[in-house]
Amino acid sequence: MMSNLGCLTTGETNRTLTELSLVHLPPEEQHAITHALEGDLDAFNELVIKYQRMAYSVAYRMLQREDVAEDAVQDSFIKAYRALETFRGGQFKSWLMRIVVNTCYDVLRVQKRYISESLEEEATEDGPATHLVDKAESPQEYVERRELSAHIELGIQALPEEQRLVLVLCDVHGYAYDEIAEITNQPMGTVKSRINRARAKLREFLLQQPELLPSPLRPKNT
Amino acid sequence: MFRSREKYRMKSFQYSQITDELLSAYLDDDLARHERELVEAAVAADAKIAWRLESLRQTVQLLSNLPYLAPKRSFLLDESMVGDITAARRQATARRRNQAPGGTVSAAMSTPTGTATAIGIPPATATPDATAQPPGWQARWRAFWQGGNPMLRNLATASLVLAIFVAGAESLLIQPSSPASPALVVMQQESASAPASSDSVAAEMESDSTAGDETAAADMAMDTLAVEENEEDSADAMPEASVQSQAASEEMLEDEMPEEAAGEEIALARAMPPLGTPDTLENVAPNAEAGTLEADMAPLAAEEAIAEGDVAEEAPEDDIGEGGFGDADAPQLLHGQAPTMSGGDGTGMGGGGSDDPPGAIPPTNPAALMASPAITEDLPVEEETSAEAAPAARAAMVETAEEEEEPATEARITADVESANPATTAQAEIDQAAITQAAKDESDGAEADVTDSDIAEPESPEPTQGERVAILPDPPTSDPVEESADAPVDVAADDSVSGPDADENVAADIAEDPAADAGADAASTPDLLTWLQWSFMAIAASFGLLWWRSRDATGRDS
Repeated sequence: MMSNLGCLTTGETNRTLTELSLVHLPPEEQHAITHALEGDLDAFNELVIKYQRMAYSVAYRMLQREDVAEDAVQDSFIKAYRALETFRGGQFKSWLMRIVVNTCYDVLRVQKRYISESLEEEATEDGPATHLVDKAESPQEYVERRELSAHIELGIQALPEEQRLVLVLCDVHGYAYDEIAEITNQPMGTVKSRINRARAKLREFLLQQPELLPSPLRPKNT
Repeated sequence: MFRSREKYRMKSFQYSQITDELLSAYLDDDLARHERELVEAAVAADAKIAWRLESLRQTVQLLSNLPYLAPKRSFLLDESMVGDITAARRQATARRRNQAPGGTVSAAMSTPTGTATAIGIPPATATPDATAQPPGWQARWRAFWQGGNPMLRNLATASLVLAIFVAGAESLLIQPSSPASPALVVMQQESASAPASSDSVAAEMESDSTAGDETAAADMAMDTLAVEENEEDSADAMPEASVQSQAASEEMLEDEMPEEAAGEEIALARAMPPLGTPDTLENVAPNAEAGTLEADMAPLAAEEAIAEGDVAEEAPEDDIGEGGFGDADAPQLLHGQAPTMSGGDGTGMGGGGSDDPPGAIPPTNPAALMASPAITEDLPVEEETSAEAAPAARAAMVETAEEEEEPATEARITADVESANPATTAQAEIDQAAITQAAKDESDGAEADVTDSDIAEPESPEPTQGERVAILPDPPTSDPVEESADAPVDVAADDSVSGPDADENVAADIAEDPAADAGADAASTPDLLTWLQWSFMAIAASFGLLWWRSRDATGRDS
């Protein structure tokens, strides 16, 4: 990172600094970013605490392995801290999630086979509370709910990486289309198309076990 | 069963364009209006499509109910992870603080420029503007001036310069007309007033001794012209046969004239400003200058002639001056119409002027003639007043008139002389003695200037009295003393005319033009310039505001 900034010409540096506008960020984020750029690591750790759960959630649903996701998230925060000078305004969350997604893609390319091998195990292990939670449920309902949750996670894992990512970002984490387009660096139409296809595929996957599904989701003609 | 399947297929074929993508977009409310209506119609008509939409909604609902996964460990960074970059940033920050002593650290830290130095970029190569700000007000001014949109800045500056230029041009355009302004003002004043009375002129001269040199010179020129006109009239009216009666009246005048002249001289000498000042002779009434000088010489020559008693022979050319006077000058002098010699030595005082032969007109100054209209009109009034004031003199005049069968001027002169002579004074006696002595001295060198009559022919046609009266303004109805302040202005204005024929034009201009010409130019030009000035100021303010906003948009420090 240092070498990259050192290679910038004066005009490029000035342009970068001019575009580095923090006025649209919340005050706490402005303060944290400014002080992090001055070498205040604690200031950046405030941002880590704020966004680590979201980052881990996305990374886990992308990687489907706890340890791998944790490593990916940790690497993502380190990359973000080193590349903080390249942040040119906008949503810091989107910028950070883009780093996390790219890191996850890198991990997936390297450890692709490990994910496919551990899918069955993870569905049976006590993972990081991926199941649905309802405290008023009975033990039977609790078991059914855990089965449904595992089934949904399996359906997500069955999706292609691109559709999985946009589906998680859109329907699980509630990102908007434009934010997803920014994170994935894809056109808006591509994002919409991937989301629609991912939903349809996940529905078809869930209908393979209709007894686990709630009654509205079950086919009436069957 | 077959029928139901067939029916289901037909309905599905009817809404075959309803895809899962379209339904998904409908769930996200990302459809156009007609697409939304189409989906709603299909859902209402086709149960299969309705189920597809509902199942998709439930899927999305299940996904949205998935919780955020809680990490089992913390991802906080420490020095072991990012120690190198943290150290570099801290060093850069410390270096920037050392380079900018005096409390600018906080400002640098809070700005992107300060951020640049915090990441360890070499100041000389990376951010020279951010780290090596040239000190001094020049640098700050340069940074201020170069900020924002340069086009808006230049437009604002240009508009401001134009506004200043217009403001300066307003004064420059008005100032050249200012030398003429006094004349215009004087013309307006004289057109507003009606100076026609020579009495008012004299009263003004006596009452207002502080009147300007212009007024005095103009008065004297008027007096000169009045004397000349009176002389002309009397010369025309007096036949040659009246020479003896003229002599008789001269004898009668010989006793009283010096006293009157002395008294009048005292009165006028108080009011008359010094002659020959630059303002009087050059700037104000250049043409009246000659008339003024002639007027100075007139009483001297006239009184010398009276003292000499030589009515038939005219006074020497030198004594008369250019304008020359006849004996008709005497009433004018006695009534204070003509200016007198300023000196009190009495050597210049003389008897009546030389008599011109009938039909002969003494040489006159055309300029002085042009400056005379105000006086000629009032002359009969004075004569009547004088006659009423002096019954004895009137009797003598009547007697003389009976003897000579000539009503003319001599009788009126006598009457006027006696009526206007208030009292005998010691100064008058002294002056009389001096005049007599001077007359004796000059009688030796006096030559019969018979050719004066030939010389006296005016070269240029002179306006008749009727014409002059016609072009004169209306006589004043108010107190002559108050109005007389405006009287000399006529002469001053007329002096600018080069020929007698221009009298009417000048008078017409005086009566009509001043308010129109001067007022129009003086009112329209400043209004236009003021409007332009304010317009440019408004434009400058607008562009300046836009430029300032552009500075805010782009960052003032950039």
